[in-house]
Amino acid sequence: MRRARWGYCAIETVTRSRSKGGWLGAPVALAIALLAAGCAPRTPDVQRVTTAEVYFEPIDAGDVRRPAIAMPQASGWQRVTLPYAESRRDVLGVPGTAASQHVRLWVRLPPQIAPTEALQPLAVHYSAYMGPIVAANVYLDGERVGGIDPDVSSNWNRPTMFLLPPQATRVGHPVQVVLAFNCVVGALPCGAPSVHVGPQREIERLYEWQRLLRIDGPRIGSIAMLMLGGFALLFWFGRRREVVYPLFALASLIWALRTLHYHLAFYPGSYDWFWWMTVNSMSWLMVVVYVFAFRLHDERHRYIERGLLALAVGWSIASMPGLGLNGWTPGYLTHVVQTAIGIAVTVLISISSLRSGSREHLLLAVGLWICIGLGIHDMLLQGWYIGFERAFLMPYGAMFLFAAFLYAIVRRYAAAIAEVEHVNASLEQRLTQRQAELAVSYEKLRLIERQQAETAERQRLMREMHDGLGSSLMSTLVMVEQGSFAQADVAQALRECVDDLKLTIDSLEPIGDDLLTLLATLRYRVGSRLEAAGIKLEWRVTDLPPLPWLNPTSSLHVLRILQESLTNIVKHADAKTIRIETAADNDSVVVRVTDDGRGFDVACMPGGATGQGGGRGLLNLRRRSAQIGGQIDITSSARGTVVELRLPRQQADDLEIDKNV
Amino acid sequence: MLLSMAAIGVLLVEDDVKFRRAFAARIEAAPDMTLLAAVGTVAAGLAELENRTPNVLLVDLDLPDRRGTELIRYCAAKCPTVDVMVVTVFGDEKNVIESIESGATGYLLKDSGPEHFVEQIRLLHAGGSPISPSIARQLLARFRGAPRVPDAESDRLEASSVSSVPALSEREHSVLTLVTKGFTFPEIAELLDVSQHTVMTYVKRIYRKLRVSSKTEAVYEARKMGILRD
Repeated sequence: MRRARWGYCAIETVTRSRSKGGWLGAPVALAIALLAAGCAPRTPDVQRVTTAEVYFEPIDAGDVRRPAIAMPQASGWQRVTLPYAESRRDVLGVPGTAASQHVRLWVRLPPQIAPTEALQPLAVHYSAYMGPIVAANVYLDGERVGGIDPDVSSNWNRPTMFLLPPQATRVGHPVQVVLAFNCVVGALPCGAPSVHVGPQREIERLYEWQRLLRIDGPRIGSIAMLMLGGFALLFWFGRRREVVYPLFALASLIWALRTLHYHLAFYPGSYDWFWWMTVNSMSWLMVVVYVFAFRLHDERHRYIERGLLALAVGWSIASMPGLGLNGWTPGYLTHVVQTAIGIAVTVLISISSLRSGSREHLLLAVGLWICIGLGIHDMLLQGWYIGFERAFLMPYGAMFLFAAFLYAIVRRYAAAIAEVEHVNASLEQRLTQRQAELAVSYEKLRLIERQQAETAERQRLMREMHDGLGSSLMSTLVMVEQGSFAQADVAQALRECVDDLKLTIDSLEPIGDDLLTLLATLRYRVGSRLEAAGIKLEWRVTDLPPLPWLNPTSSLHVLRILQESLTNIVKHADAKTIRIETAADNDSVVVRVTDDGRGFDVACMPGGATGQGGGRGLLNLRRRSAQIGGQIDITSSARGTVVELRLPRQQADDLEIDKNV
Repeated sequence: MLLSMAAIGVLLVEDDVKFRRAFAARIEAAPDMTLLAAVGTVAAGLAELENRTPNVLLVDLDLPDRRGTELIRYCAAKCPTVDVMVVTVFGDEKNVIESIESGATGYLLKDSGPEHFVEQIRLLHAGGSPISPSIARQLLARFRGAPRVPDAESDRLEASSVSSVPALSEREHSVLTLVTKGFTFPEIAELLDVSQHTVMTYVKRIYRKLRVSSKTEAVYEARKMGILRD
């Protein structure tokens, strides 16, 4: 009894749109025509029956689902135009019907003659929102030949087709087709739609088209949206902070639930709960649309949100089956509530779109206004104010709304990607910039280091010239000018200058960290001179570990220490043999210079008072070896002298061996 | 040391007049040597080489018209039998290696005493080449990548014209290693149980290999730069 009140959208059928037009159906009809992709039926042989005779028969409530046992008597039929609607008052005005809430409306079509060329059975079809019709049956020449299944829940929305038995449709033989609708007389009038009669194949095409429009279209739409919602939900799992994706999923789910009553043949679960859900879901959807629209721009109007939610949830609870507010009256109130919510949401989003210029809000507002328009259409259809042969259009209006949803989501997604790309690009740019800066600063640093190295080397050479070669040459020059030097002495002095210069050159040779090669260089220089002095050199070297700290400066120190030792031996020791040995242990390497000369008293030569002049002496040796982190030990006896230079294998970093050569 | 009784013909190219006179005097004073000519430029040296073939060519590297290495290169190509000796102040690694790569087989320090000076010339002519520890170390580094060849093969390598980068033999390698450790030729001869003359031959051979190797490198570089075609 209640079911007819819930579906509340309508459109006129395509077959009637031509005659009636439609003040708001035109764009929608166009959209649906596009949707149906040229399926509009061409039915040359189909006859639309618009005149008939009707008869009202009061029936018992218990018979409302059953077909008539017999056709009514011949008198009392009245001639009408189809579609035909009789108000409740008029129905009740029919004699004998006053006491009954249930009537059977008999509709006798004019005699039908199958076209001569028709070699296929005749069929009958009508599509209309029949309101509280419980059952419909078709009779051929007074005999029942078919009826709709009264148990199919969504019969209220289904197009109907009856096939007439083939033997009854002989060519040229007129047949009498009678339809009988069992009605519940309530707020709605009682009526009969126009009927199409024609060859089965043509009628089937008509029927399929109506079925697509009324049943399959809404079903396909809701499934498609449900899948998009599922996709949004999956996307949300990856980006939990984006609340608009689950909102979209929720909206699609609510819409899928809402659409069930259009196409489901059998409603699941409790009948009352199913309709409770179907009706209230519209309010839920509107609340979700509202929240979605404003979260989209990270806006939040708490009080409006809460108010809408409270209204929707409150009414949903109040209208639960078994809570008293059940029945027809709250049913209408439910419509009032959801209409109020829907209009409020639409107006709020429209205002926002006008204020902020948000394209998403604009599209949502347009979708909502379309829905409201179609909703009005459906409500009028539901009340039979605009006839009852149109289809309900709300499912198509929702498609506009969801298109706006999708647009918003895709735009947001694209914006997010664009932002990521932008961030990446700017990161890359900053990286490049940073690299360039680093390269520049590295280059500067390198330049500074090189300059420092050059400066250090220049200073070293300057010191070298000043303290070493320069002062030696200068003192020699002074002595030569004073005439106090014998020629041999001058030669000797100059030779020492050259020797010192050679040491410096040798210290610059690329010997790496190899102390042994450095010693070898020294021997290569002085070997022949020792030989000339009649001194035998015993070369007892062993392989030495590399000394990483050995650079030109420290090499020169080593060379000078050893050369000075050798010079001392040649000058003072009167030795026959010099033995040069090397050794290494875990921490240090040792170079030992042993002679068999006459030796001296080490204790008598403290500090720099070596008595040998020219800054040469033990103190000098000690100072030099200290500068390279080494240690020098001199032991001397009548049988000879041992000079032992002990050098560390690793240098402490803070030892500044570059200075004070 | 004097192995050949024929006088050693010496061509001297030195631009410093004092040095040239001093060197010329020392050579002329030596009974076993003949000074063929003493000139001061590369051009004059080249002209002299056109006319006669000396036994020993003494060249200074810093000559007024061109680098002494050009003269060395020419001489090494034109008269490979000539022993080329570079006269240098310090015998530092850079100059010596450059000279050897040009084709010199010895070098002479300018401050060598007169006796030492002629003795070095004799030594070179007799087949010996001096080598300092730091130069030996450089040569070891230079040949490090190349595989070692047997000594017998090294002799053959010397005989034939070698196109690839030559490698050191075991013995040559040992000699160089011992030189870096400061051992003299006589000591090395004793350690390796060969004659001192053999050690000197090794050194001379190493010098030649360095020259070949530098030539090969030059050709390789030239090909890489597209100057030379295959």
